[in-house]
Amino acid sequence: MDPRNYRMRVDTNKCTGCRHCEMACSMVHNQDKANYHRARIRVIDLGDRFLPLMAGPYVSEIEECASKKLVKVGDKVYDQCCLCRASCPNKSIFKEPDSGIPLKCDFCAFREEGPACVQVCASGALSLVKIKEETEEEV
Amino acid sequence: MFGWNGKLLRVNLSNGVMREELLAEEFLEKFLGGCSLATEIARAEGASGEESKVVFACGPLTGTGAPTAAFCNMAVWREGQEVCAPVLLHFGPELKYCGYDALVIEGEAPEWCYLLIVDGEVRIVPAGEIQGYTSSETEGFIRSFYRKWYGNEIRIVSIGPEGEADSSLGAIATDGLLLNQTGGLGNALGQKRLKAIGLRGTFDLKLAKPAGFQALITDMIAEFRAKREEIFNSIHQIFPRLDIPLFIEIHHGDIEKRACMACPIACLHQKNDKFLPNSTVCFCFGELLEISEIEKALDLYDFCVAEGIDPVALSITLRLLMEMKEIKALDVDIEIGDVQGIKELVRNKDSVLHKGSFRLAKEHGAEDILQGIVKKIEDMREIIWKGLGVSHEQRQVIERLGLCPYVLMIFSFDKIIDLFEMATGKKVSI
Repeated sequence: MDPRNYRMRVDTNKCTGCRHCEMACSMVHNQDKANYHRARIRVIDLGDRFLPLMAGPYVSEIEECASKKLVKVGDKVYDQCCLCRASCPNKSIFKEPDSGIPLKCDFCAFREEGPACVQVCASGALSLVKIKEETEEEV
Repeated sequence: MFGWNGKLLRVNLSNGVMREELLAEEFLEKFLGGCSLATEIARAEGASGEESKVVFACGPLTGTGAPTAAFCNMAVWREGQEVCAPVLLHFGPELKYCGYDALVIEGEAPEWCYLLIVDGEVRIVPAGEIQGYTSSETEGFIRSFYRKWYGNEIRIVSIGPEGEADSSLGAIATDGLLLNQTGGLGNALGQKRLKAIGLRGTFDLKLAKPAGFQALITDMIAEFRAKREEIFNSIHQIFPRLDIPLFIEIHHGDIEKRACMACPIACLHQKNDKFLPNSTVCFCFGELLEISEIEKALDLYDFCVAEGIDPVALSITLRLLMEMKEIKALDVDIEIGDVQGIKELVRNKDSVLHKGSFRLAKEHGAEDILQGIVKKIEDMREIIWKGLGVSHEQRQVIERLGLCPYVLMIFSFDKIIDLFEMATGKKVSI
């Protein structure tokens, strides 16, 4: 599967916070270890809903961090740090717990079946969308 | 050792001594986990000392990502009797990620405190100011010292005001969920002046055959997704047979599903960010307390959540009092279906209600009445299991492995045993 042709669709209304995705991710990337801190997807508890968040690129906090802002979605106000996909010096999420090396979602490019998190998502909150088809649909 | 960590953490609140102890593989293989392991440790601890110690213990599959493997059991051995109940959501898996299969808490803290095991560091944090807090206030207090995303990763069990009192109704709550049938367990923490336990672990759980384990889980989830509608239809067909109108009405409409760790079923329901009472609580409110209006039932449940009272233990005790009043064995000012009266009775700390059903029945020779009340609840649950064709023995094994017995609603017993063997590399002895 070529990850460049796909994107992940996240439906927070369906996510139940079971964190199966985190466990599957940590298992396929670390062979014999179950540890959600090694996962490249994390389910963030926003209080009123769960947000499955895929690890994005590393950013330098000083130059690019915008996490001090608050984001208003509908009536709710969220701390942008909770919504941010970046691995950054400011938080230990998306970092190998032993070495501190930043982690980034690779869409499980090494697996024929595609991302492990999508495969084990029982609620349907995570799904894979082919970019090309999506564009055609939108057109 | 695979699946288990092979370690126990002992925390003495009196002198602040914390000690890691090794758990023998043979011992873990014999008792596996769940109530079996928790009560065995509690029994052994109880036999050696005079005071009741609190034990939390997990099964070999807890936290591995096996479907529904979320259970941790809390046990206390008191007056020669075991009291044990499962802790749901994410507390059990987090205990495993902290590097322990079991946690033993002994002694009594000199002042109110909470226990924090975060990133490999164990601390007893004095916090007199949280005395009297509700469980959600306590959780908020502990998390307020951290950034929001980090704080939410700390999994907490805590007690409310009732758990602090000399009562048998004090329950424990975890991450906003009041745990039913933990009546008295909350008071075991309260007696130690331990308001809460917070966990965040970063350790790995090692599995014997990880590739096969993950492949089997992926197959199981695929099977679940293919049969999802069929499975939920069969589950929903059981509820009309249970005859709990309150449950059907309360859980009707716009509900949000919440899952314990790695659970595809997600049987916990929320409305407006608040957990709803489950089928057992609705049955107790409807059948034992004869509350038929939703507003009254939710009002009583919210009261239980705020005070940290086990709604099942409360219902059983109130029913016992009502029946004892009927036969004039005891004079209590309580009327059927009177929620306001129930609240006032609970607030009266001198009320006999706080003795709990077990002690009251013993004192007044009403064991038969109590048995009859408890049997009603057991019969209701048996209807669920019979409807699903699940045997009592299978449920016990599943629970000892650290899984929720509801997993048998969606997966075969044999597949769970396969998961155990791939996780631990051992054969299960039933």
